[in-house]
Amino acid sequence: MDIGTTPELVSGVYKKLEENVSKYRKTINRPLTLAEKILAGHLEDIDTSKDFEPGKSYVFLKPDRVALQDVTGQMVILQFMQSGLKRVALPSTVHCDHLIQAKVGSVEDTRLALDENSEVYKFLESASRKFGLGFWRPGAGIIHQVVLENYAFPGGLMIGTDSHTPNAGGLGMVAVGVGGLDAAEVMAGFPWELLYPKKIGINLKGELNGWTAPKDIILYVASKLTVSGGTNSIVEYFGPGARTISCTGKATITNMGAEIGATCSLFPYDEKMEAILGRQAVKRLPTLQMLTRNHLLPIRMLSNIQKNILIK
Amino acid sequence: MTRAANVAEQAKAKGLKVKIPLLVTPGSEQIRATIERDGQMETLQQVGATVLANACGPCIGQWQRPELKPGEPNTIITSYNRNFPGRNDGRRETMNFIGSPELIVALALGGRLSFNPLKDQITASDGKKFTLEPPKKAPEVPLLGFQSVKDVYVPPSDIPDLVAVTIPGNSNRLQKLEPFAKWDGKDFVNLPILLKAKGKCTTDHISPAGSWLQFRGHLDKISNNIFLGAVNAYNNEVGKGKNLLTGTIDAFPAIARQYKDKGLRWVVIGDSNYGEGSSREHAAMSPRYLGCASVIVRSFARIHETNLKKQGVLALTFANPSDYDKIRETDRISIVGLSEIQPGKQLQAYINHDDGTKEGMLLNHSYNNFQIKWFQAGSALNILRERENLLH
Repeated sequence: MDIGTTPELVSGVYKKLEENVSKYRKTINRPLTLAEKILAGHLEDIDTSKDFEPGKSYVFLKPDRVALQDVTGQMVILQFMQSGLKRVALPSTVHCDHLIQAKVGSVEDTRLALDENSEVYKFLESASRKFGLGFWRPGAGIIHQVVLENYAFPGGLMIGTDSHTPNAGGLGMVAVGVGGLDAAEVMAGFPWELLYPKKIGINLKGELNGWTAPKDIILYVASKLTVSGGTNSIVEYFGPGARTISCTGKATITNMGAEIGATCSLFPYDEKMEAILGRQAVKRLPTLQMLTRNHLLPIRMLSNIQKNILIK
Repeated sequence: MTRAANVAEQAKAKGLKVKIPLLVTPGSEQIRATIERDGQMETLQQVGATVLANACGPCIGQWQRPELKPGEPNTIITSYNRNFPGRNDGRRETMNFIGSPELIVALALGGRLSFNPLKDQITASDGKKFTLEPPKKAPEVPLLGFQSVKDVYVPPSDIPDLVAVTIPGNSNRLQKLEPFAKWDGKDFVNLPILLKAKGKCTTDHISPAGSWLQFRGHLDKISNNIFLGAVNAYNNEVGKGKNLLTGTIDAFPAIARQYKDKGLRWVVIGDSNYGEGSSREHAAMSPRYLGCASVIVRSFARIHETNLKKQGVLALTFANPSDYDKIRETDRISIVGLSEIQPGKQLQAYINHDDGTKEGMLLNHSYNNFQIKWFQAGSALNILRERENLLH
């Protein structure tokens, strides 16, 4: 199994997404938001699916990827080892980013972390090599940035054992933070159970200028919705302002959706995402870029938003 | 980063340095190498910034600040995402204000929280005053693209059978998990109550974080934290209860270990919304590991209820919530008819008081057929392993 987000993986996801969305539409007979489409595209069993009740129904989903960090990842892998399986069932990665202390500066701090945590790192690396996970060394970067650079893709579904996993929503992915056992089970091939989310729509008008930055958008949203206003909800950003924000700016916003308790936050695919996908270091991404454009532009229309918050 | 560096560039041109320490964390090695190549890092360093490792660092509490006195109130400004007390440096007296990276650099140059880059002036090294320009728009992708990097990633082995997973036998950080025992098919009879929790009992009360974080990979060691935050309904003490074997008041983990050593399983009684908070699996694993047979509560937070079920702890609720009040400190609990457990059917339990009297009560459960198998197998992971063993 390839660890990367390959064109094969992505085209498989888009094929199922199209099939499932057309079936699901017939069942429920109403327009769907982008997040609903992505969730429908990852349902384990579309044929028995009904119109789910947000905040009440539970759904079983098949994620495309799993990402673990080095603190929570330890127990995930220990639990996965208990299953007796030889390889993980889907592309999964481990990122060593939490155990490096900030004290003096990059070089000294990393050296100290390698020393203090060597047995944890050795365990994570050897287990990754054995069970088929990609292993990102200490110093490679923060899980969310490395995922954005290498693995996130529009229309995908990812779970991660870190509350800021929704960072990948900046590249159009439904990415949700979960507990360790959830991740271990998905890595063992089981579906992932999610409380079907409510919807919050945020219509961005105008354009950032001067000193304003994407951070100011999410700080404003957080001031309106407070720390629990997004609970059990997916926050979908849309409108003319959305496409003026850079991809990393979008990720800044979706990352901090965790601070309002949201399941995750999401931006629709646009030219800014396309620009980033086209310039990544991973060689096959231009193909991915084409796939994404062909499949995601037609389904990016948002509708049936229950709640609007207007900014600027 | 580009916009933040652009603000620093303006200061550099005027010979200025930051007035308060400025820390910069590249998000990844790719970003670090790119800003090194393109000069943004040098600019930031020239105005006095310290570049940290490509890691979470101060954002998740991994910030060592030995220069601060204990309890010293102070203010930090960050472009991170979370700012509750203690989040960044473990010090509750540190106040954190969040803003964009470009604003943080401007405030570091202004040297005070009230600095308004739109209006306020800064004095340059030649004594002239100037106002910062708004940072320039950053290109979507750096002109030369992102710098590719090496030695950051290890792929899975092509010959996994040759890879040994290394867990040192004497490790304080890691412990291989052993499967939890299967249910022995018998009813639970006369089990002591380790804890009757009063009021709020979140996963952080059940399995506190803080300094216990280092033991996240070592179930035995981290289990020394169980219920250290729980409020005992009998004496309102936190983290302590009566040891029925010795009659003394001990810490919950110590009592649980004694019961475990004697092969005595135990139950937990809880209030409403028991187990709210995080999805931390240790809050279910540690009780299970130390011998918890059942958790009986007025109501559960759903994720924790599922986690208990998955780890093989019988998760039950009082059919009559006021039965919570009937349970005394020295009672023993029996739960019967376990071999006939089925979805939607209540379980019978008995409270055996130490004066010889006995009261019956009915308990509800939310197990479906699949989850009943988790209980019988000892855990959800045991089912996975059984299935895997059948295949090979």
